[in-house]
Parts: sequence; C-alpha cells; structure tokens
Amino acid sequence: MGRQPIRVLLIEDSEPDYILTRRALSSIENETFDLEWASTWQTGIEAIRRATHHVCLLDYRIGGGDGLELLKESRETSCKAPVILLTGVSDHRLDVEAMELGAADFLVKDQLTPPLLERSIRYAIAQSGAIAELNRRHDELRASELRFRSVVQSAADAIVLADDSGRIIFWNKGAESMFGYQDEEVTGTSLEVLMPESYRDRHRAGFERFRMGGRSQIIGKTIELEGLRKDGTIFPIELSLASWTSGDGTFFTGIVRDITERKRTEEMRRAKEAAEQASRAKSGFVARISHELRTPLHAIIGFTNLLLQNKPGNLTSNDLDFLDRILLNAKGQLQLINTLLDLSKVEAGRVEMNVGPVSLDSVVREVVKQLEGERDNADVELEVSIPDTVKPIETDANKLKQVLINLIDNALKFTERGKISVGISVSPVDFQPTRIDVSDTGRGIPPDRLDDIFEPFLQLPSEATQPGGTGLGLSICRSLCDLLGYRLEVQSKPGRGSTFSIVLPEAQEDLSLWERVG
Amino acid sequence: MHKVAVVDDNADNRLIIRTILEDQYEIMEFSSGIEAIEGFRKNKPDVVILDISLPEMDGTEILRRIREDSALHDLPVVALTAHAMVGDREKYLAAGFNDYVAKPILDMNVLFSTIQRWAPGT
Repeated sequence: MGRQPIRVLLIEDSEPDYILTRRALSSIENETFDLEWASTWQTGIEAIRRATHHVCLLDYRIGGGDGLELLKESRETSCKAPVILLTGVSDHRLDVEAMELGAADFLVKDQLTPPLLERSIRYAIAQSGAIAELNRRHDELRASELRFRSVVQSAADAIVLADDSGRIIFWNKGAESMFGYQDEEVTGTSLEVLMPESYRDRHRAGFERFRMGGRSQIIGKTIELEGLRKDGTIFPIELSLASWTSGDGTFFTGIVRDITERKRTEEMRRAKEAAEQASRAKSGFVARISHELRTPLHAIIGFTNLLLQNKPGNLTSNDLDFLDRILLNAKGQLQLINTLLDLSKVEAGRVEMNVGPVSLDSVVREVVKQLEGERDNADVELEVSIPDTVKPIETDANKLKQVLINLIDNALKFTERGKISVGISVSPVDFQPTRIDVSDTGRGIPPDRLDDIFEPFLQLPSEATQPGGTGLGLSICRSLCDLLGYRLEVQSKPGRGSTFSIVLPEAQEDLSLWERVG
Repeated sequence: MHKVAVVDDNADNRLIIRTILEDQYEIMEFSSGIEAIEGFRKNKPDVVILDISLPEMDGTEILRRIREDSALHDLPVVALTAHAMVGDREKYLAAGFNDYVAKPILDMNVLFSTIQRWAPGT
C-alpha cells in the first residue's frame, strides 16, 4: 500500500478518551493514521497553527474551556484542515452551532465506532478539498473579472453592453466621455439614445430580425456609422459588434471608436492628393504646350536673324529696325515660355537631381563672374564676400547656380546705383556654410508685397515696366530651393534695398549656437 | 567641301542652319534618326548636328547607334537642344556628344565656330 498515512490531530484532555480514539483509529483497515495528541487548549491551538495535520478531532470540552471557542479561534488561523467536533452527549442545538462555526462533522463519543469515525474523517477531508477547489476557482474568477474590468474601464474606446431588448446594461468610462452620459443616466435605457434619428429605424428592424432568429448583417463586423452625443452633436464612429448567449439570455457587446480625427486626416489626405495630382497634370500640360509654343519662335528668331544679316544688301534701315523689333519681341516671348517650362518641370517634380560635393565659394565666384560680364550698368558694383574656409556641402551645383543667377540677375535689374553683394556665412564652429545672401541697394519691396513675390505671375506694377521680366524668376528660385531642401527668405526696406537669403538646413542649429555665443 | 548633316524634324530649323552654313559646307538634311543613320552609311558626313528632342527615336538614342556602328562610331556629333538649362552642356558632353549648340541660334558665329572645330569650312 503506497498510501500516505492520514495525519490526525486530536485535541482531548481526557487520556482514556485519547486511548479509545487511538484504538479506534488503529482498528481501521485499509488506512493508516498518524495520531498527534494535544491535551490542553494551548498545545491544541499551537498544533492548529503549525497546520501539519489533515484533520482535527476536537473535544467539545477541553481543559475547562469551550471546544466551540477553540473552533472559532482555529478558523482565524491559516489552517484549512477540517475540524470534527467530539462530544460526550448528543445535543442538537450544539450540533447546529458547531456546523455554523464551520465544523465538518459532529460526533457523539458514546456512539463512536471505528467505521463511523473513518467515514467522518474521509468525508471531512474530501469536503474540505472540494471547498478549497471552489475557493480557488472563485478567486480565479474574481481575478479574471478584475482584469477584464480594468481593461474595459481603461479603454479609450466606448464599450457598451446591451441585453436582447436593446437596453444598455453596462457602459465603460470610455463610453461616458465619448457620449457625455453618466453611467446611471443610460443604464437601462435603449441604445437608441446613442444614435442619430436617421439610424433608429434601421437599428430597430435589425434588432427585431436578429431576435426572431434571423442573421444579423453586422455582428462580428466593423462598420462605420454615426453616433449622437448627449449635447446633440453627431460624430463619425466605427462600431464592432459581438453577441453572446449565457444562461440569462442573449447580450450584445459594442465597441465604439470615435473616428472624427481619422476621417479628418483621410479627407485632408484625399484633398491633398487630388490637389497634387491636378498640379502635376497641369505642369505636364504646361510642359507639352510650352514645347509646341517654342518651336515656331525658334523659326521666327532664326529667320529674322538671317534677314538681319542683309546679305543681298537691299533692306532699308527702316526694314532692319522693324526686324530688330520682331527679334526682340520673339526673344522676350521665348524667355517667358522657357521660364514657364522650367517652373512647370520643377513643380511637376520632373527634374533630375545631381547631388555631389560642391564648394559654395567657387559656385558663387563662377556665377558672379559670368553675370559681371553680361551686365550693362556701370553704376552698380558687384562684390563678393566669402570667408577663408568654407566646408564643401552635398548639393546639386547646377540647381544652386540657377537660383543664384536668378537672384543676382534680379538684383542687377532692380538696382540703378550702389552695389550688389553676394556673401556666404559659415558656422564658426565647423565652417559649415549656413546661408548665402544676395543684397542690393535697389528700390526694395513694399512690406505688403513680400509674401507675393514668390508667387508665379504676381509682379509688382513697377516691375512690369522692366524689360524681360516674366514674374516667374523668384517662383523658380523658391521651387528649386524646396527641391534642394533650402529655405529662401527675403528682407527688404523700400528705397533702401533687399536681401534674399538661401538658408541651408544645418544652419538652424549652428545659427542658434552662434547667436547664443554672440 | 566638308559635309554637315542636320538631323531635325523641323524643316524651318533645318533651313536656318542650312542658310547659315551652306556657303562653306555641303549640307545633308534628315528629318528622323532612322533616315539619318541609313543616309550616313551611304554617304558619311564630316559632322552631324543632331536635335535632341525628336519624335520616335530621340537624339541620345541616335547617338548610341552611331557610336555602336563600326563605320560611324568616330563621327563628330554636335547636340542641338532647345532651351539650355544650367549644366546642360556638361550633361551632353558626358553623354558622349562632341559638342553642344543651344536653340534658337541667336548668334550665327557660335554655330559657325562650333562646326569649324570639327570640320574646317571652305
């Protein structure tokens, strides 16, 4: 027999009774018992506290005390072993009291037989095991319930439970803040308060159909609807619906998410995409039409040029003057078309980037040298101010040159006398270039037009009188700077001059450092 | 007289170039790349002026075929482009063209001196 002996604690102050009990236990077959005897109240309660026994046999009268008192006290210890109360006389009242106090059984000593004792011990142990299991399950259920409750209550989504008549039976904090009703305001009311009028008929019909045993079209799915807040506002929601059946009937769980923000983002994205697509289409169209517009101009310019040669020598000076005017106008129009084409290419994102290490100082010197040769106003000085050390940067040299050419060209165009200076600023820490400034002493730009000057075709009235101006140069500069990742800024004082600055991205940190140091 | 081939789909453009150069060069005109390459094989020019944006086969593709052709690969080819962007010259030279002229031809001498670099005029 591999069975473990059953450890029995006997709390009994009468030695003859102890001997009787020991004898009874040892006569039981098929089971062995380890008997521990405590003969006083004190040793008894100590043994209970040690809790090394499987079952306790407790005499009703112990050491002048009351067994029931000891029973009470034993219940307050952590000992979970069952207690069987032994008594000298049969007493129904005592029996009930003992059971109420948690005794597993109540035995009268005189009637005690070994089989009875054995059965009582066995039942007591089995029952206490069952109770322990029940308690464990109860605790588990409670923990699970607490976990569930904390998840539900901390969810930002609204979680609403309803019964099969569509009444709200539970609603979490998320629902409270989403819909604006307190828990007690909605518990027991119909789900309809949460939906705009226009949804209620459909809701009722769907509910009825489901209750009549039909299939719901929305259970187990996530759908987009609208919700109604207590304050009357309607907002877009996403609803996930589930149903479950327990002994109490069928219930519905709805998880509701407020998708106002998502809707707004989606809308904005759609609008942005549409706008970008329209812009690309427009730019593509402009590129094609520009090509078609340009070709005849090439012929006009080419043939006019040939006529101006006057090879046969039979054209009058008047003829030649007219031809000059044709050529000038044709060239002006060609420039406009070409600029438009540049802008549309940049805006359509159809320019190849060719990025490599570039020395800004040599780029600036090159551009200035080129424009110096082309300018025709001797009253304007063109100067360059570049620090000794300028660290090379990664950029597209040709696009940067294009920006500088346009900016310096503009400055030359709008400055009658004084000077135009082109300068590079570098970080004092690592000689990383931070900005390129093109300053002039020209007429300047009125403050209220500063925002407009980068917009295509928004020339200042005075600018329109300038020869060869298209009103697109600065738009191209800004688009190219965007492409290069630079910021194009302008500062201007009417009558004093303007400064256009290409601000390089690293500049922001370095500049702030610089300012702090300065 | 050295032969200059002008490949451009626009007849006006061909006529302008012809008029500028015809006193000193023999001009061969072609309006498409396929026509031009066939013509070159029969009668090899001394210099080619090749428009970049042609319908069907564009200038870069025609250049590639010229360079791959054992009889034509050493032909000097001058790119002719509408509307020069900053850096275009370097771009076309890097692509294998020998020289570069921008349309419209505003200064006839530029075209003239460019062609002269590759074939002296009469």
